[in-house]
Amino acid sequence: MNSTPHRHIVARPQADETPLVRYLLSSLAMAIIGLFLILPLVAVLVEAFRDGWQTYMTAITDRYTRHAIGLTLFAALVCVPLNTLFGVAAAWCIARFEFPGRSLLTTLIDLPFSVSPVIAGLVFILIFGAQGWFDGWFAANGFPILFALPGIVLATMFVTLPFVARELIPLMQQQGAEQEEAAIMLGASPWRMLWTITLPRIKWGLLYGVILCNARAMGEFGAVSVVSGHIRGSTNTLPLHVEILYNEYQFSAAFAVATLLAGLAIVTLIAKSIVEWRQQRQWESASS
Amino acid sequence: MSIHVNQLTKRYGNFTALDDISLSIDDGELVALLGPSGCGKTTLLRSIAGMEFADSGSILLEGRDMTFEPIRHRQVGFVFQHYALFNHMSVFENVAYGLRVKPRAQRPPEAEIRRRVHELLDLVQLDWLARRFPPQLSGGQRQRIALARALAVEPRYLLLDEPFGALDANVRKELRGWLRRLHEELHVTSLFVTHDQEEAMEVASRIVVMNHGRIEQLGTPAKIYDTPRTPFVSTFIGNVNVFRGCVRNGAFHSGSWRLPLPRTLDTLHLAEQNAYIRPHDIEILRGPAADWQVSIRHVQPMGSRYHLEAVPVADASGGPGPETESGRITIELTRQAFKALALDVGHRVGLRIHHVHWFHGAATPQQPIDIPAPA
Repeated sequence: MNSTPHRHIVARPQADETPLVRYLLSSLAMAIIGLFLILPLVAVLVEAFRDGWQTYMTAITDRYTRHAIGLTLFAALVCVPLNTLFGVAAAWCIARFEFPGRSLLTTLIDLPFSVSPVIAGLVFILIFGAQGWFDGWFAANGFPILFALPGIVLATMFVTLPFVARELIPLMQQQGAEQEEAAIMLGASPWRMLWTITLPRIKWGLLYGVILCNARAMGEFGAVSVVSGHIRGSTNTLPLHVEILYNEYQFSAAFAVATLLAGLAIVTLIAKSIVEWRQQRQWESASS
Repeated sequence: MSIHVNQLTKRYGNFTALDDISLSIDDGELVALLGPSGCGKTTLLRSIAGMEFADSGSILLEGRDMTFEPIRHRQVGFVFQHYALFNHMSVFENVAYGLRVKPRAQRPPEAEIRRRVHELLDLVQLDWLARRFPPQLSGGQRQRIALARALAVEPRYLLLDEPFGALDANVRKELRGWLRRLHEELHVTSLFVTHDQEEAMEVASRIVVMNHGRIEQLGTPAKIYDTPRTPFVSTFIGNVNVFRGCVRNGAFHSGSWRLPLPRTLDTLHLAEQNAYIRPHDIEILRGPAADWQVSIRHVQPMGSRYHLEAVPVADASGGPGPETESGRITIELTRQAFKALALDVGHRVGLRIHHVHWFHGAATPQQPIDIPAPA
């Protein structure tokens, strides 16, 4: 219902600035985008193919690279669905109910955004490490968390926790509860209401949050770096693998693996634009 | 399918939304909950529907205590102010929703669902819109679809929360008459919330007037208009002139004015009395045989009737005239009466009062009285 302000911005009459100022401002923006976004992307591609196609293919089909890809995909495959569940549940609570601690929960959801990922990783070291709260209990009992798969998944989950919830809370608050109340009044069970009313109405916002969550889960470096231990062929994710290759002076291989992450970023951007466009259309039709 | 509400109370922090509400609605009635915003009427409606739970008191549907029953056991149809249609479903699917979500054992077969939905869409005269989506409809069409959707599950009670509140004035007027005719046809016990007294008068068979979480008066539209029980009802339903004053020696005194009362009212001997006089209970007279003298300040044609604003003229002794709350007296005339009197701004005319009701201070209701014309 609040999309009128958006429309005002879109339909805003041409500003009063002179053509020269407008031209300068847009050139400046384009120059900054070129310098900080396009140039690095081009550099990645150029460096990746510097030693030829053959080297590139070898680098990305290397055994350790394939393992890193598998590990990254696995971590994302666990984290994204769990954070989607959490995000829907949290947004539902916050947007639909008044309860003590509601604003505290809203603030806490933002915590992973405000904490440095390295600190997030260190927190897990402090909890599960040999000198940590559990005194290495898990590792001693045959279920190591640090420098193993569970640690990577935990760190990734922590860092990507806010994405879905942050996307859904304002959307669900803006939509209001009336349609859900109407469904209940018509005799729907809460479960039925969730599947037929709530989820269809938030699907584009949800997908948008999932895409961002996935991009971050696959690209996370800092927190994972602290807890993974960089064991090649075992706890090395794609971003960590890039770093290792680079540190070993295998520049072309490092950039070749980096193109995979860059490709993921581009696919994410395209998917994000499509979803944004669909979502915008839905908001407009919902508020007309 | 009666509704009984017993001593219902609901508080939000320090705010009392419902204050000891008791109310009975008989089978097949069409009742309006009328009051200013924040008076608790929507809270009462949502409590009956089961969307809110009161702090104390009980709700009986058809004699059964339903106070803590979940919504789906109450067999209530609800219509929302902003329609609450499912925007991602077609009009047909919206109306069919209540049938499709029934437990498998009670769910009608697909052919039966189709028949029922088209029957309901015919009832609201919108069958031709079945394939459209709600955002493509006008406000009036959306509200009629919302009503069809609520009726699809054959509710025993129909609750409507400001059903016409979000519509244009002319659509609103059209839908009012339409709702009344629909109710005559279906006879489902209906309760609707409104803050528009005209709407309540026009549609409802009985009106519940609410203010500050309490019921001020409950009765037929005519009864509420003619014999308001409290000053609030008197001023909220229709227009009224309030004269401050007192009754003594067989007359009402307001400022330097004196209104002789019938002999039977000698018992009315109270220090402070306010007189409530409807604009159409004041007659305008040319000549001296009048109760009070006024000067006309403003003439407002309102179609079939005319609204005049007048101010008191000092009487022979130079007194200040009557004390009204607004300082002005509003008079309502039919078009014919206005033309016959050939009135205009600045004219001095006499007033005669035909009907008064009294309230002492703010509460204690009293009977209204007719003032017979002097012989």
